Amino acid sequence: MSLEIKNLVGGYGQLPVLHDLSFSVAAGEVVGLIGLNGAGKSTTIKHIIGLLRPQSGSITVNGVTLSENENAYRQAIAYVPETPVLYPDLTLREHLELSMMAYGLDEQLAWQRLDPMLSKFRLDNKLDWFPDNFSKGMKQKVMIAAAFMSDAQLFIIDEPFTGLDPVAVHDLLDLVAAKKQTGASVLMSTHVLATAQDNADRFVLLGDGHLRAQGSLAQLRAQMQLPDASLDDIYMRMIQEA
Amino acid sequence: MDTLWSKRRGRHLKLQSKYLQRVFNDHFVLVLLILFGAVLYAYSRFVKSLHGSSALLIVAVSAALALSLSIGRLATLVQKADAVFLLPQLGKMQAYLRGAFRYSLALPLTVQLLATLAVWPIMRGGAAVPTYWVLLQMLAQLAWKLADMYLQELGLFWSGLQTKRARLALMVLAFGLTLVGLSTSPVIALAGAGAVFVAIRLQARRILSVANVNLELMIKTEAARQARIYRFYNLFTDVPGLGGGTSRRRYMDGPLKRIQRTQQNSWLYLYARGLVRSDEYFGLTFRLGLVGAVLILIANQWWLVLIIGLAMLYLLDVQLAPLSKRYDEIVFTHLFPIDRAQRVPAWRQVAIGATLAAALIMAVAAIVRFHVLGLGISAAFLVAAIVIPGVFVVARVRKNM
Repeated sequence: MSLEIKNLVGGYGQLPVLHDLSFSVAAGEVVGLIGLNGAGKSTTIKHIIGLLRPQSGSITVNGVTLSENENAYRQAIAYVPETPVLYPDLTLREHLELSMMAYGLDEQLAWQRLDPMLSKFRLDNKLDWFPDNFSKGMKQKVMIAAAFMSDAQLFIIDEPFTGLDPVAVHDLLDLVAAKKQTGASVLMSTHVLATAQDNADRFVLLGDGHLRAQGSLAQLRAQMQLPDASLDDIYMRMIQEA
Repeated sequence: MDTLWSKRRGRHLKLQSKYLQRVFNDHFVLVLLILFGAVLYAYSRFVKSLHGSSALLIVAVSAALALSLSIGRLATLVQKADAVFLLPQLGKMQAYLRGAFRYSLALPLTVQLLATLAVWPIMRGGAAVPTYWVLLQMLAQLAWKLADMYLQELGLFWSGLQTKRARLALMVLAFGLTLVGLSTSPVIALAGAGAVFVAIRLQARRILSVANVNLELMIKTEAARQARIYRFYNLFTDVPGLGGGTSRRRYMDGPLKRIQRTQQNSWLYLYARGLVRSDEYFGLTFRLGLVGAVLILIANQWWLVLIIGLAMLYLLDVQLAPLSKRYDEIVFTHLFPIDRAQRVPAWRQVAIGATLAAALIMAVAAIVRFHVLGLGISAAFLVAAIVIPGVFVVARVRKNM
């Protein structure tokens, strides 16, 4: 079991935003985290990556909580944020080097993984540029490359499809599929339901910080009594019922 | 729109007063005051040494007065979001601009009065100056500056380059007429300045009533103006959101590459690049080093030099302390599986490097000024460059982590 969230209550201040949330992402599984703006997706992600601490409940990655072993916990996670964040003082090469240093990666191996990604993303000739000045899509590609060169077992990807061109979306989905093959787990929050439907094994549907439903597409169809429905149909029904 | 202006002015003044409180609380102000006093002292000795009248001095005074016209910008207080939210109001900006124009006058006009007063004793190249000359010159300076402010207002409708050229032309004209005025009679300068002022003001009035401002340029100009002020405040206190610019500085790649790429060095790798690439910290290091060197060159007591040098190094390190928190807003800083305890020694190492660089600049000045005694002073600077950040300021950094 790679990621396990049990009875998570959490949020920013005293008032909880997430209420008794439980779900898991198994090894070799891609799970889509689905919800409206303000449903609690990003808050959930912030709890998982350890930016927020749970008010109650627990989050374990590979059986370890953040407080038990911070370094092992962090080492296991790679994160692609919704809004790309970059160091203003570092070139693209230095961003990648810093990630390698911080995660203790073998540089030669990491560059072997990076090279095809960088040329695919047309970043290979921009290694000495400051990515802080790139367009949003190009910045997002830097984030993706930095995350996917790591040995992480859990990939957290927040709204990966916004800002990426269609080719880059395909490339990202290929990377996700490849990581899945190696047994890594992927949690991906998104609004692009058609893409999620085709690329995730299971879905976690959030509404107002509560878990509304979870399961594979077939399970969700059965729960909602909507045979042949798309994820979009199921989601819209769920919103109307809420 | 005039309510929008008064609201903005109120908020702006409140913020400025907060920053100024911090500025005047800082010990760096003391250093600047001492420097100011030294300059005044030197100036008074220079005036006393003058005999007769020097034509060259009149040229210099005219140039200084013309250059002083560049001080003081039009403060429009527009913000980035205005490009979207004020767009529908673009035709109704007159009231807003009128408020902005009036508000922007006080400081530049005061500067002109003070500048004229300052050159009073040397206005006629050292010869005696009748009081009415000073008064007429003051009026002329006010007219020039008002014309310059109207040019800046006109600039809101022009391209940036056009404004720059017009302001430069005005300055050259002011220089020429002031030179003629000071050599013959200031009435000539006043008449010329008055005519230029009236012409530009008429033009500004006309355009303001028919044309729309170049909102994007206006926002860019205002952002640059505020950035200049905040960079100054940032010498004394933390100005949030002021990262300053970043420059590549390829020539520093050599020393940067000497940091070994290991997990333990992650913070050092980051801070070293932060110091070298950010205009703020890199500029600070060299500015303080150079200001210190200049003070040392004009000081005449070895113990004064020592105090100035040590004070400069201490001030440098105090202002390098926020480098330790430069990356707090970047999420990866918190996600990397690296020991947070690395941060303090990494900051110390980078701060010692920067302080040594500043100490070296001042050491050269000390040796030039005091020869053999300067070597001793230099040694003290170098020791201090290790002890001040490594022992004293690091405690402050550790407390804020």
